Amino acid sequence: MAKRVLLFFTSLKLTVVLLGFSMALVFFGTLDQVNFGIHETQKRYFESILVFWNPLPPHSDSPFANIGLPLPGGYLLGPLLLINLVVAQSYRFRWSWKKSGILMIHVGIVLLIISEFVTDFFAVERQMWIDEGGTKNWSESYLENEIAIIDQTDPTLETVYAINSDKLRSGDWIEDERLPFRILVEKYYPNARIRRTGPEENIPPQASQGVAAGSGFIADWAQETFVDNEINADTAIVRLYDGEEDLGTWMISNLFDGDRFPAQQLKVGDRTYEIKLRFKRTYYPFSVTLVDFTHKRYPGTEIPKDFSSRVVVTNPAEGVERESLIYMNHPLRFEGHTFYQASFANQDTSSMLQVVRNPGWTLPYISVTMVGVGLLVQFGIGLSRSKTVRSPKRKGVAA
Amino acid sequence: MKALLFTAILAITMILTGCDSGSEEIRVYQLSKPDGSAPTQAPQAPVAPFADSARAPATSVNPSSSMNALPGMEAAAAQIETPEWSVPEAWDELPPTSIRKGNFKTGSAGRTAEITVTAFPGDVGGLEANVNRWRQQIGLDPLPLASLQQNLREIEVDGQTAQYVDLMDPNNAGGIGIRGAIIPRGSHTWFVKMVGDQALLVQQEQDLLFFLSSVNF
Repeated sequence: MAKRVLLFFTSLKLTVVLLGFSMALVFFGTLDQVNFGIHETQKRYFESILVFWNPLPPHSDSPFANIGLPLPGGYLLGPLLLINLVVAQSYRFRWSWKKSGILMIHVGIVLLIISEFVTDFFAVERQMWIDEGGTKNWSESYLENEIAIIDQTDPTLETVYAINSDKLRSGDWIEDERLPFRILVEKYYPNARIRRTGPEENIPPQASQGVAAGSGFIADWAQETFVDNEINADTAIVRLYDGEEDLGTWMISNLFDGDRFPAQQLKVGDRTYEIKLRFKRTYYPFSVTLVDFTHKRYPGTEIPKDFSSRVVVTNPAEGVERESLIYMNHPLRFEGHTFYQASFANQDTSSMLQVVRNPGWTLPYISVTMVGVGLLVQFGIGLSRSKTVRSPKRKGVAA
Repeated sequence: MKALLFTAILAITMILTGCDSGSEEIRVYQLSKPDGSAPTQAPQAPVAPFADSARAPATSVNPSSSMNALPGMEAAAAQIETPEWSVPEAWDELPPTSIRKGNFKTGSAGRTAEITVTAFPGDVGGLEANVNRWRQQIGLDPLPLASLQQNLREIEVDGQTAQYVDLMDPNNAGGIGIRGAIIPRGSHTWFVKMVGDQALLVQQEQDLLFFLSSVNF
């Protein structure tokens, strides 16, 4: 039995089947990217065990919408390919210098597959918007949101209690001994349309406190969007409790940014808190100052030629102050983070840097180098062998 | 031996694929607040120095607010009709956005200011909340309404009473200030806000008042 399983996993036929499925996965994933955008497609096709492809657009009412072509996902194909490659090599490979190139190629491919898993599990991508002359020491996600409760009581210190919002459902309780109060999520909308009730509408208010109560806002459920440049208006109606005391209902949404809407504050005992729902933030021990953002165009046109950000990165605890120019294909690498020039706004006075932390970032470079060197080595060995075989002057060599 | 090897690899990769790569669901951390001087570390760890251009004396509107599509508010703002007004000569008119009904900038001697006209349904939290929102944008602490009276005076905009708001940071003379008006009008509230270098705001006050007096709903 064990022998049969072993033979199965070392089989070349298995390799061909898995590669065939991989090509199909890439093909159908590319087709679906039109409907779901890059991030959702990545999750559905490459970060899953199984995926169903359906040619109908998402949220279709058709009776065929729930039927799809089943395909093994990336998390099934990847491990199987890895096992197949490693087991076949260890079972069948007979070491000799003449096969060193093949070994290097295979090790490079194994490293490439492993690097993909490392990136999936550990890589974090964030955005950092900075105005010219401004300094920032935090970045935010463009996909994930968090409920943030900020204790503002102390004049010198803010205590932030941040709760991931992606697993919330209507009716959830959020209770934890670390939190200053209990939260009942009465309604949660992954996407919402926030509007004011019309004079003829007889809809009861959803919130008794805060911005929504003061302005008569209600939130209606809206279809989640997967289009790359659109955001989902993550919104929740939460009821807060200090022990058994009901602190009222609050509408929190990532649409309520600090520029247009006042902070939603509540007093609990002698403490003042602010509650909000915002894009998930990551704070750093260093800060980035945008000294100058430059946007060059081809002369006489509006066609962008290049854009670059001159930044100074400061880490007072480490005594580091470093100036750098970030532009396309020239990111800044600092303390395990990579800063890419991503976008700009406000008539070229604000720059957006994409901040990526990926502990496995060197693995693809190493693996591709190994595969390249392995190919050169193997072809080189083959070339020298064929020259030896063809030359009639060499002794002891068959014609 | 080989069978053992492949079983181990199989087990490890299956475990890896079963792992949830999500980060911790509740995080608690502390940040020191800006006090006008260089931000300091608080004794508790981990604490990050507070360096946020949206809380420190601001240089411009939070750019994420101008980049994000705001589905619900866009629709609400789009339904509100833009009034007529006269634009002072020193102001450059920029294209309106989905939220900004009026969008201008002005500058001289290296100083710049931005003037925006926005409107929202309801009172958006009321006068105290809105003035404090503007205060926080230039790094000033919020105050109760009674203490804000020194920053407010009543004016008339198209026959309606409005509040003229004058916010300058006395501790940061070379920094950013806000002057503008909050105009309740029917079921909406209009905000005319000039934000920029304080010296330029002083120079531009007459132009701002001229603009406000020319607004015709």
